[in-house]
Amino acid sequence: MKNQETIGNVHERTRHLIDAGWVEGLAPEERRWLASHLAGCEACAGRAAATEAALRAFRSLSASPPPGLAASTSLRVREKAAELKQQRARNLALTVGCTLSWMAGVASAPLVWKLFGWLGEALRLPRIVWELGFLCWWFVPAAFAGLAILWAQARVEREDSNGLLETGPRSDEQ
Amino acid sequence: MDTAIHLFAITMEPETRTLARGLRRRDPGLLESLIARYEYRLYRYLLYLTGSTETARDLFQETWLRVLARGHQYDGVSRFEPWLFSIARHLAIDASRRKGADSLEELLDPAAGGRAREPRAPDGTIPFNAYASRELEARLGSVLGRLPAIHREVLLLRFQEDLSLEEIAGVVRAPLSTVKSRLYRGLRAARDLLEEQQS
Repeated sequence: MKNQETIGNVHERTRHLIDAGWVEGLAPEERRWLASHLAGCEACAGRAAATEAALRAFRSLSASPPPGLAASTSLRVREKAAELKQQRARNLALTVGCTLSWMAGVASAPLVWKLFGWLGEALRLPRIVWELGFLCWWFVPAAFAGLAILWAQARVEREDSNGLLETGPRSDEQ
Repeated sequence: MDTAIHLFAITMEPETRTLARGLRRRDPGLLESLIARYEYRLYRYLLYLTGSTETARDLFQETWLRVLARGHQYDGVSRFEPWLFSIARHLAIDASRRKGADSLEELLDPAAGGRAREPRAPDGTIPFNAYASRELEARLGSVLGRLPAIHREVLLLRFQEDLSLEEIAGVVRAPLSTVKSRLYRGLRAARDLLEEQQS
């Protein structure tokens, strides 16, 4: 009985090593052990041969891409590339515009401050009111621009967070 | 062996770096050459993953559009193929998710434990069999269609696309030990099904 179990274990080990040889490779002593067992065991040798044949067939499984697939894909890619280029040019124009506008805002701030002060006096408004008016003039457009940028960034991150573009394996947690 | 790997890495390095630079520039010429170079492999991967010629064709195009848009995310250090296949796989899961039930996502979920439906082309033929010419290939093709997708995909990546275990782990976004266990199970299941067919 014990003998039968041992023989079973030997074949089970062989079976595992045949697969391991294909999946992750074998250590030299395992390879030697496997070779010596296969030399004397017809059943295991047959199994090893069948596995090898199946995996060779696996490698040679073929597929015929539809005619013109590469050409039509290249065309779509070129169109999309042109579209993205235009989009980038638009974004650049927007960035330049925003920068110029911000610079103009900074440069004109003292003048606008004086203008708000003069208006406040002319309309007999409390100082706090025209100062708040100045702050709004200064911050509201910037706040809108900031929110728009944050929204755009969040959108890009959401698309990226689909996670397909991480190239490395995950840590070995199971 | 280590020296050979190192030399190989040095030889490979400039190509991947050049590739990364080109992808960052969104160079359509480079994309065109990549499409031609990977046409067969990418299409075959998608075909055997999804089991549908129509879906494989659509996903093939979507994959390259995604490569164009997200090319700047390729690091230029690791090989290009795993990155490309991970995009394709993700799009395949996304497409199945949009279709709802009986999706690839379900098939890729080990908890679902589902078997892959027999893949069919729009004309009703079974692609696995249609493309497999020799007898063993034909049998293996039909066996592939009966394997759970989580096992099928790692077998495809390992034995058809020659990716390393680490690269496969990156593509399927699973720990290395999970990839190994899926490969062992997949290999065993494929062999059992082949033996079953033979007997």
